[in-house]
Amino acid sequence: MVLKRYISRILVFFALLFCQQAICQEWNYARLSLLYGGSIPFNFNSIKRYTEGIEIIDGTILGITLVDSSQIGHDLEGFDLNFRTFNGQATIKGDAADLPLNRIRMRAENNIGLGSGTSFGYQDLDANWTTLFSYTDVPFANLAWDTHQLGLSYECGKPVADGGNGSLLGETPDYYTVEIEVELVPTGPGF
Amino acid sequence: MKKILTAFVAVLILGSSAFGQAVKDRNVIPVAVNLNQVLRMTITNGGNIEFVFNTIDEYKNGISGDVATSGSANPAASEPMYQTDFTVSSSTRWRITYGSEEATFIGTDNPGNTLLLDNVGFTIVNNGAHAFETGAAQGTTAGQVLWDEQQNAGVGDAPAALVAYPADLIEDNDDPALANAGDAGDNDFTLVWRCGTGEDTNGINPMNSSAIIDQTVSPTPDRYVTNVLFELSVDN
Repeated sequence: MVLKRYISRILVFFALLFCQQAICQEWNYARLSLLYGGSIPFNFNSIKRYTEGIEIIDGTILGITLVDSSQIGHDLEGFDLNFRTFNGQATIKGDAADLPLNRIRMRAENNIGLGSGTSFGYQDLDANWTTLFSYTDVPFANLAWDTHQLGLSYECGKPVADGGNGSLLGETPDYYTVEIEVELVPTGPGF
Repeated sequence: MKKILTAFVAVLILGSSAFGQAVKDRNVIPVAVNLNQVLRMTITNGGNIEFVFNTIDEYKNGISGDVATSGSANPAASEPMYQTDFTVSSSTRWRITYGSEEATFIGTDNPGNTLLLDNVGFTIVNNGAHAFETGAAQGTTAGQVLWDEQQNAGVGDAPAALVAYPADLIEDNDDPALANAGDAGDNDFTLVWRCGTGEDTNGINPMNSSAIIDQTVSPTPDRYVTNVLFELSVDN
């Protein structure tokens, strides 16, 4: 009877242990690694910057880890990288004034190993998801963060004549902030 | 024992099937936009204007930087002798307030000698990309206290008399779509000065209608001076 109780406890322990390992391993299948540029500042301190806007090229480098789990019914073929404001923020908020979200634009391009993907160029920041980059590889070969990276570029206050959404001339001086959320979404049948 | 084994296998299967698909991942990047105030006025030419009356003709007709309109006989009028050029660089909507530091010109040799400010007048010329209000692009408008019409502010227009500080010289037009904020190329102006020309056709702020030689109390010969102040400020 005592032996039976011991065996049952050991079995429960291993069951929990295996379950935990299974969770950890499976959650690694799609992973964004922020390698560089976790905070982006735009500092407007001259008229030239006001009139021309500011562009920060490859301000953020993201490592992409994506592994095909070979689960039946889930055929991994690639990924989309989307972005939006965090928590549905509707404006770029300052202490005393706000700026429209579209004064910031963002672009994702291949940095390492993702040259066959498609960049959609600069996209306006919005409260809804917008796709920045799409990658498809059939049959899919696993991606690792150190060999597959995207560079995120940012621009702020570009005039309409230069393809932006307007300069920041005339806007109230303030310290404006917004959080941008980027999302890695596996694509393919079953996703 | 059999039940425990069954539960063990069930937990393993459920654990695997519940998480056995690729998942999304997310990151959040904070972005900050720091708008520092840029507000700068630069006088590029004509920081010191001096009218020297030494002929009867000048006492009769005055001296002007706009001889074609004023009738001034001054031969140097076509030169930029009586002009003040300045530019404004501003990241926000702006206005310039200007005016004489004193209520009258003060004699240098004898401070008791005075000369009325309205003997001096000026027009303003907009050389920049931000036009005054003329119905189209309306980046900037001349101060309404100086000219009877907002667009009435160019060479050939009736000059406004010099007044004591403060008076609005140039201001934003309050158009929500078109701010007068911009660089020195957008906001580039020339003040064309004159003295003793008797140009009194400005309906709001006319110059003295009498030439220096005709004034009922003839001004005492002296060197009359005053500082004209310019203040650039935010106009929200």
